[in-house]
Amino acid sequence: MRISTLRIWYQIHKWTSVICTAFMLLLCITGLPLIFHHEIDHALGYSVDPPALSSAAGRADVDAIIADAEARRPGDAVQFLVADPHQPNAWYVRMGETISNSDVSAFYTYDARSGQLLGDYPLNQGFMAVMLRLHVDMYAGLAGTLFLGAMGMLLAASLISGVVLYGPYMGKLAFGSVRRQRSQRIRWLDLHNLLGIVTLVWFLVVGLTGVINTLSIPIFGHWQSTQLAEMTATHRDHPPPAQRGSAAAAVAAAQRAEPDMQLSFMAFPGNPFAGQHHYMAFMQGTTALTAQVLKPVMVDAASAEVTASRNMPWYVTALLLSQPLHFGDYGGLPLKILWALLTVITIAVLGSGLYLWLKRRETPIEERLQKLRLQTAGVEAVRQ
Amino acid sequence: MKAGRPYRIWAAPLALGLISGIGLTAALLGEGWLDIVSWTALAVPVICCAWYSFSDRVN
Repeated sequence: MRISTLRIWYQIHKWTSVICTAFMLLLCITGLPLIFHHEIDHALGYSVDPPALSSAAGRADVDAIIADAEARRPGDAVQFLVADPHQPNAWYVRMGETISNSDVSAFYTYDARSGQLLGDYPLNQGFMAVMLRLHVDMYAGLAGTLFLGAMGMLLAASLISGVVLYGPYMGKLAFGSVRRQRSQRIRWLDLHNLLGIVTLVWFLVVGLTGVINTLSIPIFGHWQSTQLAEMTATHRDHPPPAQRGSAAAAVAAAQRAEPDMQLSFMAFPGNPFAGQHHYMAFMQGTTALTAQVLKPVMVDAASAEVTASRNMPWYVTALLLSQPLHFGDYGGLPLKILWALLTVITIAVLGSGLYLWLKRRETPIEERLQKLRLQTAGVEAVRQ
Repeated sequence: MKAGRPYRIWAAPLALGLISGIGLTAALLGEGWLDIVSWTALAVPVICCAWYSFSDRVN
């Protein structure tokens, strides 16, 4: 590689890193506890599992559960009925101040057998809620989320330019070399290169899937204004039904339409994910891979008939598949622990990069590379 | 500038990248033994970092 080309790559690596490192450190540090969100919520008693029942219990009426939730918050609206394939004995009911409000006002857990309320998730409070907001939008809404997405793009540029620099840097060094007898700066430079190249693919995948996740509001917005609008077009000129029909009947109808799938969540009529006249049941597959992908099934809210269903477009599927790859929640607790360890190594890569920049020598890159070549040539001469 | 022999420099990073890719994908495709493939594969870069960072080899 020509020295002038290398110099450009070095400048790219330096400046993309300088800009994004502070935000990446924030994301890594807040992301660390978020990996164990589920476990921490259970340990704190925020989330509860349905108790084990000795006798073979029946199933509670879903409409009675919805009515119970509505009675608890009379001014609010039930927005979503949520299922969890890993927890078949529970239903979750999400409410908002209005049917279309993007903020949650209550998230109830019900026993799917007895219909009893098991838990009321404490929203927007505690340590984990702060971690989540700092990680998702730094309390700056969609603008904050998109900004973090842009920082993620800079990270990707930083990682790729780092790989380009790795080759010439390693010219005469063996893989994994950490020159401990040299200055502290050289030692940290070696460590930065080692840890960076070893964790490269994981860091790049988690970074880029994070970028895709920052686009979730625009991505679903596009789906709503195109595909969902087409699905509901037949009812556009009808007035909304005076009374909402049975949610239980809608769930059953969606299940009959897609017998090989299971319910992930169902949006209620009037919600932006459903349309004015319909329930929208989002079905998921039953294998590890297909469970990540959703298929919306539209059910007439008055007649409980399935009126339309179609697969999600590629851009929604890409978003849905990027979620597990960012969260690391698809391979049990051992995978989460590995995710955390890799995050810690990533913090070391970011921290050492920052250290190297702060301790940078005011010598041009040409001079440094010249030194490196002389010095490695010297090493070779000694070895021979 | 001369970049040395590419194979010597890139063999280990390529292998680690491939192993990481397998680790990231396996558990997504299924459960059971594929989870174990993911755990084993993603443990490789973690162990590799620890080994070279903390070993007292003189380079």
